[in-house]
Amino acid sequence: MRGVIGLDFGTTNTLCAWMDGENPIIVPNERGERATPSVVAVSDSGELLVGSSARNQALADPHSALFGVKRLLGKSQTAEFGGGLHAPEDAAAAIISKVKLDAEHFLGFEIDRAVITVPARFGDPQRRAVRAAASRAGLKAERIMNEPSAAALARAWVSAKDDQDRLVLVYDFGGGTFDATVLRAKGGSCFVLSSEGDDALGGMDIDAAMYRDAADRFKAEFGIDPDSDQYLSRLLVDLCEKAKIELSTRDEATIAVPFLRGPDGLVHPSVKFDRRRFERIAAPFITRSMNLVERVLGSAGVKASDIGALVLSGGSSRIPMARRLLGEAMGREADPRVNPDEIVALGAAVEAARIEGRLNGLSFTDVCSRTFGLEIDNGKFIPLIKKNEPLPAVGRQLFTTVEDYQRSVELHVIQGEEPTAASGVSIGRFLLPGIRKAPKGDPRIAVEFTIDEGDMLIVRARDMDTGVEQSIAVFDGGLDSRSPQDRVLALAQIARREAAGLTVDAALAKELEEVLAMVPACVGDDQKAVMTATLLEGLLSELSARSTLIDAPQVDASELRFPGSGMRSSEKDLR
Amino acid sequence: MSDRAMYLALGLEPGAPSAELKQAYRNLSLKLHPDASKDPQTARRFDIVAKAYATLSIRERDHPRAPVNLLVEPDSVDLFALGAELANNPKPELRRLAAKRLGLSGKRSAWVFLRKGLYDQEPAVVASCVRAAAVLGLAQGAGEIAGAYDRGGPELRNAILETAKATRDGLFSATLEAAKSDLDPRRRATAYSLLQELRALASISGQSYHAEVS
Repeated sequence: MRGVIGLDFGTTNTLCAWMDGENPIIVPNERGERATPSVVAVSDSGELLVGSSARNQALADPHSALFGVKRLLGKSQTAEFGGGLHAPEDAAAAIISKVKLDAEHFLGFEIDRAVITVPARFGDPQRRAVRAAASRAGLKAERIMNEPSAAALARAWVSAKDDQDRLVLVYDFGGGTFDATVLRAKGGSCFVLSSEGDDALGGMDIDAAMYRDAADRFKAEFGIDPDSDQYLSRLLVDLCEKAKIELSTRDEATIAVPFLRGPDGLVHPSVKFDRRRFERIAAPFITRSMNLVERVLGSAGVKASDIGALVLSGGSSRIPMARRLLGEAMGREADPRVNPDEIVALGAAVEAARIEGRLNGLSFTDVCSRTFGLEIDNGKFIPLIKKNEPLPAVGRQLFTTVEDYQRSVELHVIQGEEPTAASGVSIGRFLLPGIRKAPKGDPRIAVEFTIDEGDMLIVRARDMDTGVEQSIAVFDGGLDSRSPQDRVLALAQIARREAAGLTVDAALAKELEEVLAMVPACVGDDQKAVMTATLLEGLLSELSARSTLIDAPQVDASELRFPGSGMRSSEKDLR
Repeated sequence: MSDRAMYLALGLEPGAPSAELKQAYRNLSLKLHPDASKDPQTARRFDIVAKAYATLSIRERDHPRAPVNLLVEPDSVDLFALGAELANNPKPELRRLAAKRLGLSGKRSAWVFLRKGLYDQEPAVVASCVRAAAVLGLAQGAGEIAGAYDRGGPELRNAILETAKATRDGLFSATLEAAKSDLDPRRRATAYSLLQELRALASISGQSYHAEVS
């Protein structure tokens, strides 16, 4: 048996989940932990350590370890740890590979595919880096899923397979980042309307503020300055985090570090945090998160009362003050049934089970509504993405030439359901020149079709021998059953996040800004929404071409691994 | 550079009115100026554009021509109206004009309309769409323009090559690659020499072109 797992590859922890019959469960690692710290390290003997072992190694030698590799993916070429430079993808692959191995051990069968979650704000280069990391770990990323979508899916599944069409607000307060996201969800299918976040707002920041308070009291009451001792300060930060967690269920917590040498001999300092003191410290952070919630409602053009479900995710969302303020602002309680630390991984497991085809009870409508493919030499139509495939969808096939020493092929992208190209609709054409000079049937031309959640169809063609590549990005509005307003919001969200990962010139940035500024006015005006969506499409395809350009030199060969790589496909007569 | 090449370098038709000259220069410098783009390729392209504009605008100053109404008000362009015109107007001359104005709008979202214009019956309209792409400073469309070249007759092929030569934009690298197999020896020679130049540039800047030139 082979299975698909759900992976929540987080900045601080990586979780693995699996659908056990009707229930998604967290798969523990070999230590019995439900979360594997996303840390890699190199031991003194040169061994690569992952998870808690790596974190322990970091206590002994901070430079041997790498924390938070997720933040480097798609942004940085190298990461330094253990006395060497490594690709972030390799470090991430080490973590994913360890989690995969542990899961195989626990579940007792081989795992070769996974649903991996990423923040909704991740751009294309970052998503590709995650895909590459998974493939280096021997896992095919069957789907890269937005974290809030996974959380919403988990909620729908455990809430008696809620199949209503509703707006969902996901309040995700993690260790390092905060994200507030509005989604449109119907059963198991959902898409992000708007997401607002702050990369410098997380549980760690609350820990740091608590540390500040505790350190000042250590100094004033016991004459001990933790700032001057890096081991004591690290210990104190750890204890603050534990106290914070404690305060989610109790009204007070005490931090004690006995046997310290003060100015007048040995002291046993201890400081108490009661609920009121803690809330005074945490209030600025929680207020910031609430401001982002307000902003995301604004950018999605909805009111708090429109929200039909409230989902909490991330450990810091357990803080009672956060729950209270959020409850007051939204006028409803969050769904308490799912553990916020695990909800994203569990949602990924539900999605994984859908991909395996063993999921009943939820409807999924985000499937490709038509078939897309290529016209080949004799006027035949070769489908690469078929109707009813779940989005995002990928189709790959190998083609070849039909004439001796043919130097270019024209790729004619067609949408149609019939086996002949003439009965389909032409979507676009482009030329791939620079093919290796060879007898007919010899060159290998890899073609990849992808349709993402924004319904952008990207067709890439690449000569496997010379490496020349051409691509086209097109939209077909009819492909999408969403209302024009939802569609324009979803496209704007994607445009925003794609632009964030790229260096765009001033003119493009300005144009994007202008078009995005038109989005709020689309509420209630279908025609305006359709026009704005068209402009966004033009900009999105331009952004996609730019991200391809940046990535071109580092395309991972395994990303273009075709079924039966190295052999010729039977449909090889592309003109 | 010949006069003709200088106009083409700005993505304009030879002899374009001075208002268009200014508009095209303004659009292109917003995209290509080293302050706007960190990409070393575009710096080279900007040099060509700046030189062409300097020469042509000095000539305009010394030998002013009769003023022509500015075709495009910079901030009040209706891309949709122009797109509809390009797609549906029965007169080729007006379709050509619409393509030109889409280019002069400076808006890269105009490509959603221009890409459809590449399939126009009239070679002059297609050529106008290609020039518009060059004036927009697009990253996308390399393969599609190469396709238009491949489908096109001698007239269109010459026009596209001329734009490629005048702009030396990486957008045309796929077209040049295709032109290497052209039956016409003159076009083949042009393609080879331009590709060599682009390749030399690519190795200087260490960047890959839209299609890696092999």
